[in-house]
Amino acid sequence: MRSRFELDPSEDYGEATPALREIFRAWSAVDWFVPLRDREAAERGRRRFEEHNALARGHLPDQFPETLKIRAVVGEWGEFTALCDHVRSTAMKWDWRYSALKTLCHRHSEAHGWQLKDQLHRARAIESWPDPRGGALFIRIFDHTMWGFTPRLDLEAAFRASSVAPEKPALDAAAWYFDYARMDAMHCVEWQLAEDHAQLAGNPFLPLLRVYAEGLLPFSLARDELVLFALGPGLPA
Amino acid sequence: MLSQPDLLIRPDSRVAVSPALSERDRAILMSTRLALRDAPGDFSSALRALRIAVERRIPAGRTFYLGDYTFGPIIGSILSGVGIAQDVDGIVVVRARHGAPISRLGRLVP
Repeated sequence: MRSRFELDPSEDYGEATPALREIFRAWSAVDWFVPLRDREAAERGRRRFEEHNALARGHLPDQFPETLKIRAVVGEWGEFTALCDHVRSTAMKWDWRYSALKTLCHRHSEAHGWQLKDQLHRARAIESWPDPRGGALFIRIFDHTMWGFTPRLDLEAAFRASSVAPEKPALDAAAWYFDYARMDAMHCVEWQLAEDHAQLAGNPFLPLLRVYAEGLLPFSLARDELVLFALGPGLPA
Repeated sequence: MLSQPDLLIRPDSRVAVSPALSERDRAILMSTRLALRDAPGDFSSALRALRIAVERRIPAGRTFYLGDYTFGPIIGSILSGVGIAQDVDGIVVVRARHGAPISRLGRLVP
């Protein structure tokens, strides 16, 4: 099940525009919550994550370690839900999304003088939202500017199409996970807007989106401990 | 100042006090309500109060468009799905989780 998003052709974000289109192609390429295709996909996903970590570490070494203990886990919805519950637990002292990814993006934007409120002139008025054309990055409500990147995913349809119908806790967990991943796409776009050019090689969030595209779902259990989870019955030896 | 018991659950409460609210959401909503005591009760003021509360409580915190409710957009947290929206009887707190029906949790202010 894909959650496509395409930038409106009339939208112009300067030098970064071609890079933004590439980011949304990467996002739209993710087939969410489908079984892992093969071992090669798992290996590619692992390399993508290491690439993400190395790029991020170049900017925020105290949050992204030099070496990562990466464990691949192939399991069913029960295991996925348990992992979601684990990282959502208030007992968890480590919050990868808040402590690492969000901080990474925020500090980079600050360093480049990029602010969301400065996008007001580009923002589409909420009265015209959702515009049938879609594809606008920012929306305006009164004098407030906010992200308009709101990709949807019909989780129930995705699950109906799968061979095993997951229960409500798994649906909730998947919705939660997808919303977090959506933040990664926003961070990826924000990074590029702050850079204001079309070169994506240094954007640490793009390889992370490509981890998802390989069918792997990262769960950071500690600063240096990661599970790359994949749905499936297991892979042939 | 509002005290913590204001945010406890009472069956007859018309104010948003859902047990499903996280500590973070609860604190943000309480700050929003406090800021609205002396402000006009329109949605723009509520939006501004919510944004300031989020920015104060969460490093690099932001509010997001979560979807549409009776009279306009729902603005709040992507991660918890809790946001505010205009309804026929005022500004309300709702939960808009991805792929789930929108549920009204109560009014933002009494």
